[in-house]
Amino acid sequence: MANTKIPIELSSTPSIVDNGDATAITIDSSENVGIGATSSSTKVTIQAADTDTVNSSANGHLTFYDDAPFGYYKIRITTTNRDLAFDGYDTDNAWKEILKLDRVDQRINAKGGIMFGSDTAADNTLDDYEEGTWQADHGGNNMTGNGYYVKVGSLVHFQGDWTSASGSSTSHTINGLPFNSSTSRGHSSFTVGFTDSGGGHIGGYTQSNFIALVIGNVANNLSAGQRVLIQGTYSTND
Amino acid sequence: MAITKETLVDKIEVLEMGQVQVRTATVIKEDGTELNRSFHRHVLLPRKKLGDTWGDTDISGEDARVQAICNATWTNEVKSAYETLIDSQEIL
Repeated sequence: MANTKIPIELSSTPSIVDNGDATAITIDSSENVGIGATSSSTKVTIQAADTDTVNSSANGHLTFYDDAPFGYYKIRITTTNRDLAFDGYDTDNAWKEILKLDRVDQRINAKGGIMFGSDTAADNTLDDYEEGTWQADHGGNNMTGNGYYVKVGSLVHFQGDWTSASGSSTSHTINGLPFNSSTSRGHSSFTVGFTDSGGGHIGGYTQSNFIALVIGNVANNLSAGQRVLIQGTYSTND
Repeated sequence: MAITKETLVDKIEVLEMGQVQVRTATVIKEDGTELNRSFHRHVLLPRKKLGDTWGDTDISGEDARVQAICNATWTNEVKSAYETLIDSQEIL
């Protein structure tokens, strides 16, 4: 039977109330259900207009809510890359994107980070991962070479193969760490795996965005043209 | 098929003691669709120490937005507080 409509007049307490003036639900001959879709290749299909923005409760395909304040969630497809986004209604009366599934790159983007097990401590949220490069400078000039970093949470691991430029001043400090090191968690140390400096280097400590080369408790200068291979790990404040 | 490469400052963070962390993204696109994004990081300090001498950090080559943030953040009080902190924590 096509075009079935259940009029509200048939019951004072109807289990289905139909005030629609156009087809909203279609059940095909395979008993697949389309909501907002005239056909469905799976058991249920929900189709809505392009609904990119997170800002409105109207921009979504599926909404869950209870009667408690801020108990609202919605699922929408972004128009930019057709990603699948999960939004929540926050206590500041605004919709926030919580999670996104990246269709093109098959990635999960968790806006606030990931927490494991039954943990509730904000400090234990895995909220950052980043890779990149950094540029060292020594004695007033950029050094030549390469430097890479990986940041996981508040921990930064850095490595570098750097040579001091000609004309640079003699100094025991190398600037340019990719992140400022913690000012409250003490200094971290790093190692020098190779150097052509006659004095030799074994390592040193991090401070702010620079490292200091030392042997024992004595500053150990690097001169222009000299090379160091370094690696170390330090903590940021966040 | 047009391959483009653009460099942009995509994150600027101001820390408690006035340090400004800058992330620069290099974005490779094909016909406007992003193929790859890589990052470079550097930190700008309110004051920079060369040897035993403090001096102003040269930000003339920085992105205009970074310069504006540095200039607004680095008051004399911020610079002085940063020098004091670093000097107090310096091992050598």
